Amino acid sequence: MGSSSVRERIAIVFMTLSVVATLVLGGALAAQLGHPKDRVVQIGAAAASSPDGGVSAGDQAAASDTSGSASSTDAGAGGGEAAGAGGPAAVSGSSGGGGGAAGPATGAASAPGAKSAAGTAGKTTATTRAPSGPAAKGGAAAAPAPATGAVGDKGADSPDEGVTSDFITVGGIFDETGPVDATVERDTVRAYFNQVNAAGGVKGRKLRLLDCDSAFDPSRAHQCSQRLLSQKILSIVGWTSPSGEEPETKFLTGQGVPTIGGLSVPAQFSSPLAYPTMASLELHGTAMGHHAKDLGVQAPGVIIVNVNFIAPLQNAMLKALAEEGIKPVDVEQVDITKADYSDIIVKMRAAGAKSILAGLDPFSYARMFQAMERQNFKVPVLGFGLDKKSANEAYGNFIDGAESLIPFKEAFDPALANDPDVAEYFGAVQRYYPNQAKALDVYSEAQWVAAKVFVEALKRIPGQITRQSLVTALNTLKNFQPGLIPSVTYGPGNHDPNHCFQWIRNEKSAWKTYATNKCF
Amino acid sequence: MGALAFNSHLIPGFTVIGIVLGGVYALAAVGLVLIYRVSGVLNFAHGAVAMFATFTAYEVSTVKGAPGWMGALVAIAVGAALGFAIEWLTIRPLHGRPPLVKVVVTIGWLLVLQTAAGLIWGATAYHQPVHLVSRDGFHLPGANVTVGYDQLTTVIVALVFALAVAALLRYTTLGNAMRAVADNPDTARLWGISVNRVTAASWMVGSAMAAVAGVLITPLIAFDTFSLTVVVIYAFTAALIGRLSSLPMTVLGGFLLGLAQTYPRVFSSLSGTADLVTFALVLLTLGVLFRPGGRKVRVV
Repeated sequence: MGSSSVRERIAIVFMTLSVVATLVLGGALAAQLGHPKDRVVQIGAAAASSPDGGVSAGDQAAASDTSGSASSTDAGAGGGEAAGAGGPAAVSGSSGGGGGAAGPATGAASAPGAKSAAGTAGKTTATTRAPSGPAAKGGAAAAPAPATGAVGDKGADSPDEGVTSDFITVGGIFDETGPVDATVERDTVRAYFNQVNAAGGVKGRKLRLLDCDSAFDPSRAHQCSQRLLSQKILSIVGWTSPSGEEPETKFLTGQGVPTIGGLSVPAQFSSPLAYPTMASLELHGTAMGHHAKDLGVQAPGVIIVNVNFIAPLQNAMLKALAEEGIKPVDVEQVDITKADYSDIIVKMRAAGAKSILAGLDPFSYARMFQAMERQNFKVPVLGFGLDKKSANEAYGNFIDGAESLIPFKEAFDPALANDPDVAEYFGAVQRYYPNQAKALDVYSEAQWVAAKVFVEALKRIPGQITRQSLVTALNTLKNFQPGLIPSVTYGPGNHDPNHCFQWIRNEKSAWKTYATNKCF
Repeated sequence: MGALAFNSHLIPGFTVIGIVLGGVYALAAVGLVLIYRVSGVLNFAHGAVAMFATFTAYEVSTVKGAPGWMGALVAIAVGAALGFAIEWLTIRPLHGRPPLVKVVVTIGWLLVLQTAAGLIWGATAYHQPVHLVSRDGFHLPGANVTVGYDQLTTVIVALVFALAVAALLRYTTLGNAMRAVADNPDTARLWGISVNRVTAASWMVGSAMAAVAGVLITPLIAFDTFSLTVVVIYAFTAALIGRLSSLPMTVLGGFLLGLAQTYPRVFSSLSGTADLVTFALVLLTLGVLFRPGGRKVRVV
């Protein structure tokens, strides 16, 4: 019995490992095949979606023309000898996707060490080489526009702050798993970086975003901060971590790391190193309260998601409502994971609510509208962040007539389809991440603007790129026009660049802007 | 905030809402209890199996356009296959090992299935679930609340599953074998019962039930790789109220839990109140059920 039993167990263990490996690798393959554009930039995608909050390298440079083969080296060793396809730790093949000319995926994906390098969170230091090896031809075929910034403008490297001779590395913390899906914000930043890289990068360097999954967990967000710091990043750009931004803004700026973009949580308005692009949530609350008066809202019921930064929004909204003489009949807090809103809706109806003012995430809105429809509670709804097409599909019929406000241009407004700013934004995401185009929303617009602000500041740095010189350059931005908003101005001290909103309304599944530049 | 403003007129409606919510928990818990009863393994992968199987239904019906019932059938097959795979590949070789080891293995499956589903279908919340039953419903005048046919179906299926499994265990040869294995696997083996086959069957049936639960529940919650796992955490609580053995008590526990989560909203607008009351109630219930010298709950 002894030896046969041992053999049987060995066989079972082997089979188990085989099945698991097949499942994971097959899944990865299927995901790659299902998202052909994504492979351009998702080195380490498995790590990105792993539950351990792994950091993956979004190698935006791979989308450019020069990515014949990508080899892993130390971050500070840029410019070393090209490893080529047979290199010991080639991290990925890449496609000549620059400018939308999707060349075949080539490169060194099968080289020894490819898997381990791609999957090793925190150690991803991909370096793009000049065309060489079999991938060079495909990459060269997609050669895009000339570089942004001459090589002579490069300035010295700052490898300890994410700037090597080849790359400028920034970090981003996103809820990639869990109840909130912020992958679209991550991919929006990457899409803009891809676009810039396809045009040659900035100051002879490619832009790269290291992402980390905070999974709607503040402790994991903090782990992300520490891991990104250990990976030598220049700054945080375009992050979206609802439960992590409030504490991590304080932590990261305390470490001297500038943060650009984000959800405009209160902490981002109280640090000289935080550069929000969106109107503050407090201002959202104020705008909603006063806009309620314009809409003739009476006896509203208020529903607010319970997250760690929401109090200023709620207080500002209630204050503005009081100033307008509107008294809510009920105010309900809900958890972000709340499955069924029937109890809320039944309670609102019992309280005599004649309208709903809501401050929820796009996915919670779906459950709210579903409960309203199920309970046949058709009243006017005013919220913010309602304009997310992919989520709207789950909102049902009761979204029709809903009001929202947005501190940027409404990208889903058919009247703005030919607007050059909207076209650039949609076009970049559509080109590099077509599956995310329907998921774009107010928050992805904020991160798009953040990425543009970051690149503009980089271009204005006269010499060595460091965190300090980046901050100095950001503080020189006066009336910079990134598109989607009229202008951005920063300076020394705390920053609050965006005070204006657009009123939008859902009419037969389309979001239409009917008032612009409502400033508070 | 309107906290602690009690409105007794809400009670009938909230009772209905709580029972409907409890039906979701009960449905998720029944398969869990079956597996535990027979194999002694607390299957933390139950929610992940439900999620993965539901995504296959999504692939078949929502993506490929096949009828919803066909997607559900595929989900049931995938659920059963996953249950068999988990038992055959990873639980059976651990025969004789402490239960904790097996629990850890199921957590491993949870992670593998969640990651695999995220890679295949995307770890996003944009998927449209398969609607087997209409979301339309009927109005209960006394409660002033509308119950959807899909919600009603969830409650009915939970009850039917509980009764069916109870009948299976009590009146069929397979059920007798399952009970024998649950009582004492070694003795069952002496009686000529194939313990491995019976245990595998329980995993298959339990996981198939998870698939049904997943397909029915996902239209009521967010459809992603995460939310169903949260539901199953509540299902664990319902199962604990049933002492992980009694199916009627498990269903009752599900309804109790649903009510415990709903009633606090009658008098409080704060989001944490429901969890606070639920936690207190569960502790109280478990304290009563598992008190030293307490009457043993009859096992079905």
